[in-house]
Amino acid sequence: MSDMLLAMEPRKITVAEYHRMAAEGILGDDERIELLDGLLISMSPIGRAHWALHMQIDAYLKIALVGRAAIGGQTSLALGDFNEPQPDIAVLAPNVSEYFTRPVGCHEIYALIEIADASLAKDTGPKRDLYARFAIADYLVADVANVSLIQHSQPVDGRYARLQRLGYGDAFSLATFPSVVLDVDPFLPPRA
Amino acid sequence: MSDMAVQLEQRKITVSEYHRMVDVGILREGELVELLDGLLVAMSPIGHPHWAVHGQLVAYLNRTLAGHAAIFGQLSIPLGDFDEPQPDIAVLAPEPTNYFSRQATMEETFAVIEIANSSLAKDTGLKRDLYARFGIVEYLVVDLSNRELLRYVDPVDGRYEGSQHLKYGDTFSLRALPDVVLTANAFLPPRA
Repeated sequence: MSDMLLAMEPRKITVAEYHRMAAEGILGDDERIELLDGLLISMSPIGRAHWALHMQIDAYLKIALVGRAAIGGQTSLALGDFNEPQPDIAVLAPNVSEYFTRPVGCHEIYALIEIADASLAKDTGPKRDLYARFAIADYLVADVANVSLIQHSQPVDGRYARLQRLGYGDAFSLATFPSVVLDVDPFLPPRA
Repeated sequence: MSDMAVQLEQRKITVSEYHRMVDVGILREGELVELLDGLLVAMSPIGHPHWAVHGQLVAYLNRTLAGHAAIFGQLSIPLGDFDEPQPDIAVLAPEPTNYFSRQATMEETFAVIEIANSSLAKDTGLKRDLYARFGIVEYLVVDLSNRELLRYVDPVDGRYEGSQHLKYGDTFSLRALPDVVLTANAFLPPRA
C-alpha cells in the first residue's frame, strides 16, 4: 500500500455491511479475510506448521477444558461496529446451543488464540490492541518462529497490563479458570 | 488512521464488487466515496468555497464549450479493475446520447477537473498518478488555498510530462480543444 493511501480517510465498512457483502456473494465464503477497524484485511494462507499446531492446541484444550468451555476454530467474532476478527482458536462459554441463534457476547469470550508464523507483527500489534480494547481476558499468541507462547492478560483501559513469554515445560492458567493448570508444550511445535 | 494499516494487507475491492455494493444498497447512491486502488476512500465534504467555485466553473464551461464538449459534475469514472474515482467535473466529447449505453472512452474524456481544498495532497498525488496511468489527456486541479490552477498534460508511461501553474489573468486551451481559449479566472474564486 502506498503512503498516499495512508493519508486518506477510508470509508469504513461496518460489521453489518460486511455480513451483507458475504450474504450477497460480494465476498466469497472461502475468502480468508477479517474486518479490522472497518477495513477488509487479507489473512495469510495457512501453512503446514500452522495447520498442525492448530490441531494440536485444539485437541489439547478440548480435553483440558472439557465441561468448562467450548473451543471454536476459525471463529468470526464481531467486536463493536467495525471489527470482526477471525482468531485461530476461541475459548468460549459453553453456551453452544444458544450460538445457533445469537452472536457470542464479549463476556463469553474467555480467551483468544492466534498462531503466528507469518502474522506475528499483526497479531502482537493491531490485533492485540483490539482484543485489549474489548477486554478479552486472555490473549495467547503461539509464536512459531521463536518457539514460545505469549500470554497477554489483565486488560485495563484498552491495554494488557500483563505479558509473559512462556517456553517448553512452563505452565499457566487462564483468568477464567485459575485452578486449571495448562501446559505450554501443546501450544508449541514438538521439540526438535 | 493508526499505524496498524502499515503492516496489514488489504483485500482490495474490484470495480464490479463496488458496483454491486451500490446495487444492493450497502453503499448509498450519492455517498461521498470513491474507489482508489481497491480501497473505499471517503471524499471530503463539499464545503462552501468548493461549492461556489464548482457552480461558477460548470456555468463557465457550459457556456464557453457549448457545442464542443459536454460538462458533467460528480461523474464516476471506472479505470481498470480497482479504481473508480469521482472527479468534481469531467469534460467529455459532446455525444451525450452515446453515454446512455456505454462509458466514455479515454479519447472522449477531454479533461478531468478536481477542486482541491483539504484534498490537495490526494489530488496532486495518488489521483494525478491514477489519471496519468490511464491516459487521461488533461487533468486540472483548482488549488483553492494557493489560488492557482494546476494543469497536467501529456500522459506518457503513467506520468504527466507537462505541468503548469496558472494564475489570475492567465489563459490556456485544452489539448482536445486547441481553438477555444479558456481563462484561469473562471477556475478560481473572485479576486479579493
